[in-house]
Amino acid sequence: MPGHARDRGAEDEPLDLTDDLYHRIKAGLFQPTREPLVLRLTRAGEDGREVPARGEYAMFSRDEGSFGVRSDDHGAIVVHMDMEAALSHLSVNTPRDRGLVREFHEDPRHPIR
Amino acid sequence: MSWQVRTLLVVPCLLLLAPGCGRSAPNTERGRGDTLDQLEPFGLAAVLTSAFGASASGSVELAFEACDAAGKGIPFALLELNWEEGGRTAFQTDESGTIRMLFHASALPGDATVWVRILPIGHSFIAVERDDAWRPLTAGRVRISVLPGH
Repeated sequence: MPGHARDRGAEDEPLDLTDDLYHRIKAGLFQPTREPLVLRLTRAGEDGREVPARGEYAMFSRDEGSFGVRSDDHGAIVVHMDMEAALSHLSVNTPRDRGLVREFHEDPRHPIR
Repeated sequence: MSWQVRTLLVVPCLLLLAPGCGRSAPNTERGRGDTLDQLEPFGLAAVLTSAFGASASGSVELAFEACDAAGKGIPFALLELNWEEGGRTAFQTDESGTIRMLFHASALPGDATVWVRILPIGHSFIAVERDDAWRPLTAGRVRISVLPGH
């Protein structure tokens, strides 16, 4: 469903992208070689509505170690993967106590560009 | 050749870039201020070794800016990491052509060959597969700035 966002995982819980994407890839709903995965970090604003979390880090962990990627002015991190990377159990986490929510936007038209 | 061995071979070249050392490796240039310009694909581990060598912190933040031949930032470029262990990931830069990454000395991610790929403005992910459309950056550079870690 274009534009639909899925919230995933408790705040401090690493999210295994392969576990999350495997069945969607098998069903042809997500094609890593064709489209990016758009992760958007949000948090609750003063009025309770979610607002983009700009300049926050999401940590990506692999068997060999980890690295962080900073969200842009829209709270987005856009990651492109080949099939090997998509199936490599890359996990995503956010720092504790930042009140961040991870949303994965499903839009093959890519909402950034 | 393992990334550790390759790092040992490359680090002395990067150390030449330290202020006062006088010359640069052929595929690198000193940028503005405390920046390093990479003119060709480069190894992540070597850059991290150099960055941590110049920092007393247990973590470093690197700002990667994709620049065209004129030195202007390329909006929405893709910083690609081709991992030595296999797999490719690429992260989209912001409107200014920059993406920031954070690394902790206690959990370095292994080595990757890093370079920039460009998708045509207006590229449709529905119409054309990304791998058929993106092209490596030519006649440009990746400007790396080392920022204090978190």
